[in-house]
Parts: sequence; C-alpha cells; structure tokens
Amino acid sequence: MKERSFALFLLALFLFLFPVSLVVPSPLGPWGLPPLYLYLYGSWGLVVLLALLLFHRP
Amino acid sequence: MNPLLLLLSLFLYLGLLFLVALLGEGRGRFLVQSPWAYTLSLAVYATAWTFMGSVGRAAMEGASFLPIYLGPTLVLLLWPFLHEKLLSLARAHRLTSWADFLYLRFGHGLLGPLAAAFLVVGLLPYLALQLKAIAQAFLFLRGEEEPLTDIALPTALLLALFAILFGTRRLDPSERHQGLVLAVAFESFVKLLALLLVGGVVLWQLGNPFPRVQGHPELLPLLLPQEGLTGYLEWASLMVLSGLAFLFLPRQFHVSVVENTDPRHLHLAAWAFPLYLLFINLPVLPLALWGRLLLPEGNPDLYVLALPLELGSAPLALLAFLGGVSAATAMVVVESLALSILISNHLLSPLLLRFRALGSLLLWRRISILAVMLLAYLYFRLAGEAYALVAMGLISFVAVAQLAPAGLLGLFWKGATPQGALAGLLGGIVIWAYTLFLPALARSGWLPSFFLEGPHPLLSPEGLLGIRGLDPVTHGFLASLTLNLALTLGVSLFTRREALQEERTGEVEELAALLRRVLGPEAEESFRHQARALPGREAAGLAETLLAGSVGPATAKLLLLSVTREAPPEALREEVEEAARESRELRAYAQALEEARKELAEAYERLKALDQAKDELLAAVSHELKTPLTAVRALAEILEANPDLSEEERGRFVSLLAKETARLSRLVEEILAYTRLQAGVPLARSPTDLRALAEEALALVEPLARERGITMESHLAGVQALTDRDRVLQVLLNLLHNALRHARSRVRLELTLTNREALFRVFDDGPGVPPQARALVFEPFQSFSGGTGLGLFLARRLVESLGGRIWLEEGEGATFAFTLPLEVEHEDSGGGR
Repeated sequence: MKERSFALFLLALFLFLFPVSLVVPSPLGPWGLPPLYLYLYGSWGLVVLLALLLFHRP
Repeated sequence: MNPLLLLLSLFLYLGLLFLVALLGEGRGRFLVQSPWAYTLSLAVYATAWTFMGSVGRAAMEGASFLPIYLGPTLVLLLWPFLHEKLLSLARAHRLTSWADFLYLRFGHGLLGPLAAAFLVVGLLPYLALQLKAIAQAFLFLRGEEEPLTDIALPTALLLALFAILFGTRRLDPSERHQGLVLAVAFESFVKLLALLLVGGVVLWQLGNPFPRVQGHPELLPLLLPQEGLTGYLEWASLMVLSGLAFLFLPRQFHVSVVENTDPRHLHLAAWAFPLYLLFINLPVLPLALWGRLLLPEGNPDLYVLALPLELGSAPLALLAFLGGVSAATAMVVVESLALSILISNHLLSPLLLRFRALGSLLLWRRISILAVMLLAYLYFRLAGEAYALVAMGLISFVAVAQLAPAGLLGLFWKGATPQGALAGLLGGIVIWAYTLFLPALARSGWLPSFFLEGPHPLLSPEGLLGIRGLDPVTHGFLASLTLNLALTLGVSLFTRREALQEERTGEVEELAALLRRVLGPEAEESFRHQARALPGREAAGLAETLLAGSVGPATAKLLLLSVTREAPPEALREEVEEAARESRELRAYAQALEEARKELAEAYERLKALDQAKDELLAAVSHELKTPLTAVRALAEILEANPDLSEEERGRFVSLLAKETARLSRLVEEILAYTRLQAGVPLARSPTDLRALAEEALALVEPLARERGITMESHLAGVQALTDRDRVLQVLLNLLHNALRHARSRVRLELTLTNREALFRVFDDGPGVPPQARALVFEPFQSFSGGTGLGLFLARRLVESLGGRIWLEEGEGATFAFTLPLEVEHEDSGGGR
C-alpha cells in the first residue's frame, strides 16, 4: 500500500506542478472552455479516480 | 432582504446544529462511526474563506485559488506514511495536538508552550476572519455595509457555548466527541450542497460564462496560468503551504487524528475528501466570471450572495448565506476547541499545578474557549476591513507551517534533536513575524511604515536579500520555512542526541492513587485494569500517558515526579531486567521442582500403602486359609488314624470336613472376586430386572436360611436397570450371607425406587454392629463373626463400581442399604482408587 500510494503521490505532484503555460497558448480552447481549468480539473479527477481504485475496500 | 428573516434563519440554523450534535451524542452515534462522517468532518478545512473567498480570489487572480485544495489532496495521498503513523502514536500516547507530539518526541520543556502560544497568536486572526464573514454576509443581505453590526457577537457566544457543551464534557480531550463530529459533518454537507446549488442555478439561468469572456479582454488573464518563474513558484509554494496547513492546523489534527474512531476510515477519506474538494471548487470559476461580468463594481468575496440576488432569487441567497455560515461556524467551533486544549495543556496546567488548582482545569479549558472566541471577536472589531484581517488566512497558514520541519523530521528522522527543533521553530517564528505578521499590521496602520521597509534594502520584510517579484505570502513562506528547516537540520547535526527523557518507575498503587486524585475513579479503575501485569517502568509510562492526555505532557511529567523514582539507566536496566528474568525463571523452576517432589512423595506414600495393604492381605489370606485348612487336616488325620470309628462319628467328622471345605471354597471365591476387581475387569452392562435378580438371590440363600432356622422376608418393587447383573447379584449374596450369619430369626430384603435410583435394604434382627466397629465394617478382613472379612468390603467396591452408594443404617439389628443408578453412566471397573 505504501509503495502504491507514494507512486500515486508522485504522479499527482507531477500533474499538479506541470508547467501548463508551456502547452496552453490561449485562454479559451475547444467548445469555448478554458484549457487550463480543463487540464487542472481533469488531472484532479484522474487522481481521485486512481485513489478510489487504489484505496477503496468494499 | 428582511433582517428579521435573516436573523431568524441564522439562529434557527444554529439551533439545528445543537440538535444534530445532540443526535450524535444519542441515537445517532452509529452515524458518527461511519467513514463518511469522518470524511465529511475533514472538510472543516473548507471555511468561509473557501465558500466566499475562493470565488473572490478566482475573480481577481484566476486559478490561484486551486492550489489551496490541491495541496491537501496531495497530502492525503500519503496517508499510509503520515496519518496512519499519527493515529498509531496518538492512540499509544493520547496525543491531542502537534504540540503534544513535539514534547513527546523531543522532551524539551519549551517546545510545547512555544508551539501552543504561537499557534494561538497565528490563528486568532483566522478565527476573526470567520466572524467577519458571517457579519459581512449578514450586512450585505440586509442591504447595509457600514457599520459592521454586532451579529458576530451573539454568534460567537453561541458557538462558544456549542464548543463548551459538546467539546468539554470531560477533562480528557483525547476522548471522542460524537456530537461535535456529527455537527461538523452536517455542516460540510450543507456548505457543499449550498455552493453547488448556487453554482447550478446561476449556470442554469445565466448560461455558460466563457463565450462572454471573449468580449472582455480584462478577464482573459484569469483563464491563463500565472506567468514566469515567479508565477510558477507562487503556484508550487501555495500548494506546499496548503498541504502543510492541512496537516498541521490544530482543527485538522483534531478531526483527523483525535476524533478518528477507526484507522480504516482513511481508506475512504483518501479519495472521498479530495472528491469533496473537487466538487466544492467546480462552481467557483463560473461564479467568479459571472460576478465580474454582471457586478464589476461589487465585492468579489460576496459574489456567492450577490449573484442569487441579481437573479432575483432571495431563497437562493439565503441558502448561500447559510452555506457561508456553516463553513464559518464549523471552523470556529473546532478551531476554538483545539486551541483551548493547546492553551490548557501547555500554558495553563503547569501554572495551575504550581498554584495547586489543577482540579479546575476543565473550567479553565471552558474559559479558554470563551476567551479565544472573544479575542477573535475583538480582533475582528478592531481590524474591520484592515489588511491585517483580509490577508490573514494565508498568513495563518504560514504560521501553522512552521511546525512542519520539527514535526516531520521528528516523525521520520532519528537524528533530529530538541535543540534543532527549538532553533528551527524560533527562527521560523521570527521570520514569519518579520516578513508577514508585522508588515500586515503596518499595512493596517497599526505599526509605523518602518515595519514595511526594514532597516536596509537587503532586509526588506517583503524582499529579503533583495528578492523582488514574489507576492508577500510566498516570500514569507519560503523565507521562514527555509530558515526553519535549515536551523532544524543544521543544529540537529551539530548537537548531540541525548536520551529522550529520563525514565521513571513507580508502584502501581501510588500511581493509581495519583490518577484518582487528578482524573477521578474511572481513570484509576481503567489504569489498574491495564497496569495489572506491567512492571513499574511501564506502569509509570501508562500513567503518564493517561495524565498527559488530560493535563498536558509537561504537567503529567511534573505530577509523576512525586510518586515515581528514576528508572535504572539503559545498560544497567538490561542487566537488572535480565537478572529479574532469570530470577523469575529460577523461581518457576524451583516451584516446578517442589511440585514434582510433592507428587513423588505422594506416589511413594501410595505405593507404600499399597505394599503394606498387599502384605496385610497376604497375611490375612494366609491366616484365613490356615484356620479351615488346619481343621480339614485334623479331621482327615482323625479319620485316617481311627478306621474303627462308628458310622455316626465318621458321618459327623465328614460333615465337619465338608463344612470347612465349603468355607475354604467361599474364601477362595471371594479372594478371586477381589483380585478381579483389582485387575479392573470392565462392566458388562445389560437391561436387568432387579426384582427378578433379588428373588434369585433369595432363592440361592434359602437353603442356608432354612438350615439356620431363619425366616426370609421380602418386599420387592418392580425396577428395571441398565447395569452389570453379576455384580449386583454378588452384592446381594454378600449382604444376605452377612445377614444370615448374624440374624436371630429374621432377614428382610427390600427393593424400592427412589429418585431415579434403586434402593436395596437388607435387614437382620441380630445384635447389630458394635459402635466401635461401625467405621470398619467395609474394610477388608474386618470380621466380627467368623466370616472371611471380605464380603462387605467387596460389596462396597462393587456398588461403587456400579455408580451407587452403600452404607450401614442406624437402628435395631443391622440394616445395610445400597443404591444403584437406573443406568450406569460412567465406566468404573472398581479396580481401586
């Protein structure tokens, strides 16, 4: 459990600290939505999903 | 909006909180045990600053509100390293705060009080911010902005009452407060629901704000990442800062560690709490953008309330108000409780001990809650709209983060020393005050501008070493934490690691008496139960842990000094423990030897008795055999020597010869029966008609009775039994022969059924058994009438082998009685005991 949680922490750290300014050239992207927030909420949701799969015990 | 309606809603909501807490203390306890309640209680992290301030921050600075929630998400992913370890430590040592941990880990008397006092100073403005949020929201909805009326005061007093009622029932703060936790979980649910509803309705009615933003170039930067290295540094710093705050805030320690009922709840919280944070942040950006678009002149911190009003939905605005109130009140209650525990355990209890007033500690803890609340209110009234209040949220976070180097290095690095921890904490506090706290006061006009500029450009409070471009919070955070960490590491590396603390040992009785005096009889009983099998040193440690949870670690140590003595040093202790262990083993060995010696002695005595019994038996048998054999021999010699004896004389001698031979034969039969018993021949159980068996016995002895002129009488009930037929018959014959031998004219045999047993009684009208012989009648070879002396002995052994009892009754003549169970349940061959 410790190894997997640490690996997920590293992944989350990478996603949350990724310099998004390098890949987000404009404030609004496809469908008129801001790519910065799509990326942040998307990566946050992915981390939550992975944590659910990793830690959840029925 | 009608102020009366607002006021009524506010107090109704606070009343509802009391009801929820009462439910948690009573029938709703099972709800508190749920991992969902634990997860929702963690959301006390999201304060009014989240509920209203996040939208304000997003409206002014864009995405910089998000790292405040990404940080806790990151920290919670590390729960197997952090929270699990903390929970284990807290359970073992009854920790109630990080200050307790620092004292426990480093044993330095200054660390606990310093951390406690610093946290109180650092977090008071943060509490004031919550009161301000309630007052400001109330004023906004009733349509006034100045002056700030005193709605905050009754709210603060009610919340203090709530914290006192549901957080300080007992002295031991490490006990769980179910009502408090359920109320906090309920509030977390309310604020999430309120914000999602407000966001949903605004989006539903106003639509997607992003296309509209294209027409407002001043809003486009809000949708872009912060630029440059400084922007990136601020983003990363804020994430680390909020993560550390999530771990080290007193209220977070309280709900995540002290109130945890089951460590397995972390499995759910590790993903569900980040999901909660994700959900509560979803409406933030749309609300911020619609606020900027529709209310460009409004206060961004109040967009959550203003947008529903703009849409003409007063009920939604009221719901938003209650959401903000719930966010503020949960934080205020738990934080004030956590701070009061810090104050009472680390600052007040040593003083109370000195003035011999420790018994009033619970009262002082309650007074502390009230004092914290009133101080927060006072700060809010004095600061008002000043910068010192507005910016205090993050400045408080930076204050809390100063515990991180000592706390984390203390948890994971054995080399951390008390001197290092103290130096780091002091350095961090000084830099925090210099770069953040004092400039904030100066910016509010409470201190001269010197505190904003510093004595030298290189020592500028908001630009140490000439650093420019960073916002003050990031700058202060990085500067204070860097120095703190460097001092903790550096001083630890250059100071010798001493033994943590001198260990004490004491007697359980004295320790229990101390616990009774300080904590009451329940604690004493619990201690006695746990310390029953503990050696003195561990008992003293347990007593210290129990005391530390209630009166703080430093006071607990002082209290223990009076009833304990210094334990032997480590090296010596090992030898002492080794000697004690060997001594215990030796005593156990000696005891085992003594028991073995006793068993051997008893076995020897038994053998000796058996041997003696065997000799006596042989002597008795020889004697018994010798008498008839002598008679037989004499009669045979007479018959051989006198061939001319008359027929009459010869017949008399032959009759005597036959009689003696019969006696010999009976004797041999009884000895054989005795040896069979001794050999342990198993029972041969079969369904037996006891009346028929008694009649058979009577028929067998009838010739002898007739010969002796004795009348045989009987009264036999019909009884069936599962027993050994031959043994019962043998008993009856032995008793009847014995009766016939002593009877004058009458022998009576009775068989009755009593209490699921068959009862036989054999009565004769002879002289009876002399009193001095009554105790010996069932012993072997104890004949008083010329018998073999084995008949009654065999009868007793046979009856006992069949599970019955035999005895001699009192009265005229002699009456032997014996019982037989209707079914022989146990297997006893009768081979001796």
